[in-house]
Amino acid sequence: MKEEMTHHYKPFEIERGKIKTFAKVLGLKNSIYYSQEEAQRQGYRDVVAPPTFPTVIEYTNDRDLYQFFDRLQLHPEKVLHGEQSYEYYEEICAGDTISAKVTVERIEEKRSMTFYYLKTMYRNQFNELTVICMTTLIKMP
Amino acid sequence: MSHKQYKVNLIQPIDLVQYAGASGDFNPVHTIPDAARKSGHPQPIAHGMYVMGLVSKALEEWYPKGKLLTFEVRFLSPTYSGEELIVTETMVTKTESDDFHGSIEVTSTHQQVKLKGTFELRGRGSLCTKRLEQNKMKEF
Repeated sequence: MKEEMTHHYKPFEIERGKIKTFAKVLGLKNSIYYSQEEAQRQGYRDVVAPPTFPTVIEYTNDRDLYQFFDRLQLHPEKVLHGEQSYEYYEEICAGDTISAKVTVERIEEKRSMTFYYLKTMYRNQFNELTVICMTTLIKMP
Repeated sequence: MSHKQYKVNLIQPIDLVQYAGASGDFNPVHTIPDAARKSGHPQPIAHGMYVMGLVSKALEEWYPKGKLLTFEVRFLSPTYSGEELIVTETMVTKTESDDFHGSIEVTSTHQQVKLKGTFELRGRGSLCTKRLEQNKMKEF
């Protein structure tokens, strides 16, 4: 894999307040997103990141996804989000530091559009794989 | 059998502003009407990840103790502020190990399909979402 096809996000420290705000905006109600006490009562290290929270690591980052767009010569206003999938392995909790890297797995041309298939691996401070994310981006002509 | 449904409140511009702040995705096409128009959209376009997040909210309503194992969506048409969405569970099966495998669809109240997706979920809130070790190994 050529180096320009991989982007390393800056290791990201997961904050309780960030989880709470994200969960609240989506209307999530589960107390494990809001209360450290309740999360720990259920056996978690701290409040838990909701299912789509890994996207925060892509955007709230000193080396964010749009910087990778620049390197791929993708203009955000010409790019559509086609597909998104997550495979969950370990919980992400407040206090964790998550290192993520995104790789362009393949590029396909279809009907004058270009499809970019991205794979993002998220690892925690124990070097455990927490989430694998697949993203399809569609570059419009 | 009736399908589970979850109705999302009318999406307002402020919802997209709040989502932009919470996620860090400040692409102006999602929040600034002029930027949206310049890109050919009649209104600010909802972040795809916001709509996926609303699906996670629907799953939480239906499976309050559930833990997601996998979650995948295909975005089929854009969602704009001013639209009302309905999340529908179109199919679900329960496995021998009490997991649920299901399909979902998001439509507008005008019957436009916004996204389709699938999920696998552990029904009885086990502590970890650990999947089979062999499954994990093949990713290395």
